[in-house]
Amino acid sequence: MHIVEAPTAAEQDTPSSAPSNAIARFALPLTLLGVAVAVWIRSLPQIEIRHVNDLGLLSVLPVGTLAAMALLTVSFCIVLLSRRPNELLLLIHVVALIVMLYAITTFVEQEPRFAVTWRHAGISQYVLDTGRVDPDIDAYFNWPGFFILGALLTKAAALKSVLSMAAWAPLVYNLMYLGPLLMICRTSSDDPRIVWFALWLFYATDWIGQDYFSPQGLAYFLYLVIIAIVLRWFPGTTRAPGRRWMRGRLRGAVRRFLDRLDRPDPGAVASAEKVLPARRAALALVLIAVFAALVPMHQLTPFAVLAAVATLVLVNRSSFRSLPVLFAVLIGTWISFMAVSYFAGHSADVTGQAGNVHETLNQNLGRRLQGSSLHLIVVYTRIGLTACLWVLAAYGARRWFRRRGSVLPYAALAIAPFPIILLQPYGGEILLRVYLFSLPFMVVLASAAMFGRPRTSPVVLLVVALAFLPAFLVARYGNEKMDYFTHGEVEAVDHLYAAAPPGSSLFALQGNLPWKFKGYASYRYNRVTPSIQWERITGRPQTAVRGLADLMGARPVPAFLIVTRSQAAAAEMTEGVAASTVSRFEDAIASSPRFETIYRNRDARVFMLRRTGAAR
Amino acid sequence: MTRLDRMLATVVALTGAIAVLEVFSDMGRPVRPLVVLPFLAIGPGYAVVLLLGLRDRVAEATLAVALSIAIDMAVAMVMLYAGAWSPRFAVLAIASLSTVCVAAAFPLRRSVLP
Repeated sequence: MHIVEAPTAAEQDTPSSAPSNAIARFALPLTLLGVAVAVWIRSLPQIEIRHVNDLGLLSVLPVGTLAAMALLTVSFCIVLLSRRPNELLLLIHVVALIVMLYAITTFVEQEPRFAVTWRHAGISQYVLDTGRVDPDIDAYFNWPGFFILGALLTKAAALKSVLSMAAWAPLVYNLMYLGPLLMICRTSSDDPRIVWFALWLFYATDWIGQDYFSPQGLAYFLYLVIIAIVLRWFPGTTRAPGRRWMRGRLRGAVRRFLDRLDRPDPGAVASAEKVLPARRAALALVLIAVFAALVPMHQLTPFAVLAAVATLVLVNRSSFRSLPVLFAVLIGTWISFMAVSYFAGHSADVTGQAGNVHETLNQNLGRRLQGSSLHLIVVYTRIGLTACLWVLAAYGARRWFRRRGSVLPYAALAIAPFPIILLQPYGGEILLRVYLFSLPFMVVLASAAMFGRPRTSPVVLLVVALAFLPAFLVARYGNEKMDYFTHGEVEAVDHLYAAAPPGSSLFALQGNLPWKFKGYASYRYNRVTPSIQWERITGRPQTAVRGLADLMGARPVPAFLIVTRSQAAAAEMTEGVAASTVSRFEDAIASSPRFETIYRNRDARVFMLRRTGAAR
Repeated sequence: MTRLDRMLATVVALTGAIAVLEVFSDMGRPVRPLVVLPFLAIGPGYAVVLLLGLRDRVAEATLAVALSIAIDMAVAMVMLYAGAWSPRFAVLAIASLSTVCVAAAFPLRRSVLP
């Protein structure tokens, strides 16, 4: 499935010119790379995460950090545009990019980011503590593979807690993605420039942020591996009978278009002939084993894999025609036997919104277009970055289509995840996941836009490579003000757990805080909003405090409230709540006789409900 | 198998054995994570990949990690659902499986699975 020709003989270095080019080929990029890494490392201590505003991490990045990334990009482009790009040098540049873009928060923040990271750690901790999974607790326990694996690794490696691995998850996951991505890109072209620019684009545009300590992060790796295996070792080699029948009934331009789209691919045929039945059978078993690991790990990704492999079969670019059926059987088996508890109680949630595109768009787009003015810049940057990449990919597909080679498998795989939108809104995240699943193929198409005949100017290439980086930093880390946590916040949560006996009701203003990492099933976790609305908290804080006491006292168990910096930041950024509202509400709670302040630090306060008189 | 394959296979088998020793002797940090985590992340999958004779280091590394995840998870889930959750014995089972695969791969020549 080769896109474009590799560099021609005329473009190769001649023996006489090679020594003179050695400095340009190796010394210059290595020097630039070394300087970029050194500048980046030196800039890290200057990042003061507490000063981050609603624009996210970019607002606190010093010039050195940005200059280092720009220098790395220039160096990468120099290697890429040399006559014989050295793949080891390109690999080093991409690894450096991964570290700069994905490990930066690990180095500058005190605790693992994202509230959900802490929740995931709590589920693995539950497995460690009890040695079992209870599917009645929630959906996570119906797809527990990731959490069981996390528990195994934590215990076997004698780690202090599951969280020991969490901070490094983005870096580790993105390094893991490199292998299958390289395999996928190499099936598209012999030209290392297309392959490595596609990889660069992938890391410069993967702003979704699903690579934290999550089932999705690991499942995405398996998704890439499965598609890499199919593209590499199970390419389509013959035309399907159904398509031949259809083509026989078409005329004119439509038939010519289909013929062109479906033309035999010499590269695919050649590689298919090399795979003899014994290895093909062994690789089929590997595919099934990897998918079998994916099914109990994540609810959505198996459907994305199914859509991808079914699409490849439909467009006649996979010779493993029974694979979609096998995968569907595996998914059905898990849902029928192991996820019954979840579907028994949530069948309406799962199927009720199928096909409701309006609600899906409302949850995925409409509800995100709110918040402070700086936060809106972040939201529009995300939309703009996505649109730019997709437009570039469409342009690349058009250029590729006009050259020799088949664009079909990559275009089809880029489109394949979109029907998943019809299934359900997935908590307002389905569009993000669709972007993620289509990204590896979008970047292959986008990379094809930059190479081949006519040549793209090196300046244009550099501008494209550079332009995505600041957009990426805004899009990916735009919520950093609410996504990062401090030692103080974690200490407050620790204090909460120490004070609250099992069975207590734990309340937070809203869910953005580092809790649930222990006692996942031992406490009742609650949100104050929207039961008590922000308008009430803002307008009549004293009345809201009385309502809060009633809410927390509704059950005859000890009740605690924790208010943290990150909750206030999330309310301010995503719900438009004024910065002073939360602190005034905290003061009102602290002055109420119904509450006792049991812990306080710079970033958090913990209150206990007093069980007196009317409260009983 | 190439000389490098044999060397890596030996490293996998040895690392598995050391991991089992560390887990059963309750050796703590910092040595244990440095041995056990890399072994569980790559070892069992690489032992299986050796049998495939792929002749492509990128593909071998990729499949080694993917298969290691699959094997680790399968062993842990079977133990957990069978009511016999034991990370120690999971490591023992995974190391044993890896050793069997390495032993099976040693006599193979690249030409067995072209």
